[in-house]
Amino acid sequence: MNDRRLSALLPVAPAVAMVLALFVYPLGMSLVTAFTAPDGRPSLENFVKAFELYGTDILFTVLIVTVSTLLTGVFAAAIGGYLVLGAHPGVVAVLKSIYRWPLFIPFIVAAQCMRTFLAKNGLMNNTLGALGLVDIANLSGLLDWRDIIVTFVGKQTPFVALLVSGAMAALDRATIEAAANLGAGGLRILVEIILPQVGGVMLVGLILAFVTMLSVLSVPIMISGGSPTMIAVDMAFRVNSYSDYGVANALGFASYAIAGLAAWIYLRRNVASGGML
Amino acid sequence: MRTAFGWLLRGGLLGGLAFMIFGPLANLVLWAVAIQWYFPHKLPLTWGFKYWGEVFKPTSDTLAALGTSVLIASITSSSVFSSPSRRGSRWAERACRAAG
Repeated sequence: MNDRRLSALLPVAPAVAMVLALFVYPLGMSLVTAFTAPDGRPSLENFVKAFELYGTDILFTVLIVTVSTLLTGVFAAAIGGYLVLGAHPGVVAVLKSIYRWPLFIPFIVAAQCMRTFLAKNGLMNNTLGALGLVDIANLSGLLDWRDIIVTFVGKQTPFVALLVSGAMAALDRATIEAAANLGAGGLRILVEIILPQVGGVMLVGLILAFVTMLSVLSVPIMISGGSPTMIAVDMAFRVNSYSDYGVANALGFASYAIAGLAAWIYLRRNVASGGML
Repeated sequence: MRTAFGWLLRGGLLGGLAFMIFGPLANLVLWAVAIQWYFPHKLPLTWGFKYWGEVFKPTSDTLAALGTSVLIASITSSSVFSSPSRRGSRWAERACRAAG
């Protein structure tokens, strides 16, 4: 019996070894460094310094990522809902062909595009001005936290919409048709019939989007490298400018704590769905 | 009247989405071929591939960096398909079947 169990476990050993060597060991080392003072004794010095210097940035990161996640959810639900419920096949086909484009644009390129697009004299303000919709002289640019949110939402919405629209398309259409026959409008069907049934997939998509946004360095560094900025920028700065791995790892610990909360929700969901999501 | 408003709304929303997706990309393309472009001009004043020359000149490291990026991306994504965990789980399935 034991031999059989061993022979079944042996093949997964390389995978476990890889996870231990490439993930658990570096993670453990970064945790140890975060709790070690420059003179080598265990201490919370790095955390005190990290919160004193970058407390606002940690809060700013949580706010930006949370707002971006919520907006991503709203837009993904709207796109997915229209793809399933849209009554005009032509409009559905056009939407289907354009909404996925940002998936294929790397974060750094998206940030660079948005940086010039949303600047005070960027293409967006110029186009709106040329259409006579706004007066450019009175406009300001959006090159701060707002541009970071626009870039994150623009980049992550297609990813969540792709997952959610797949789940929506797989639903039994009988309930949707029954609601429509009883006179429910599109928005009501989406909110009361469809979204509750794809809530799990939506949650998983949003959690993955949340964790990705938390770890992206290129977008905040390209758009708003000044103060306040996001944790990833501060970590890169501590390592590149001061070789201060202690404070960088303490900031990293704050990042895992935030991502860990999202992972905990994901795992609970995963257990509830029998590992299907 | 209601139908016209519906189409206006649909057209406006779809147009707005297309503008937010393709506007920044169009902007990137314009900047890539602009040599001189400043306020209040709506389009570049001089056009050309001057900066492309800068990027691809022999002394530039950009081409090597591009190669490294593509190499890392290819290795990472191909390792997903041949990772020990995938092979491991297949072997594990076989071992379980063999063990009855």
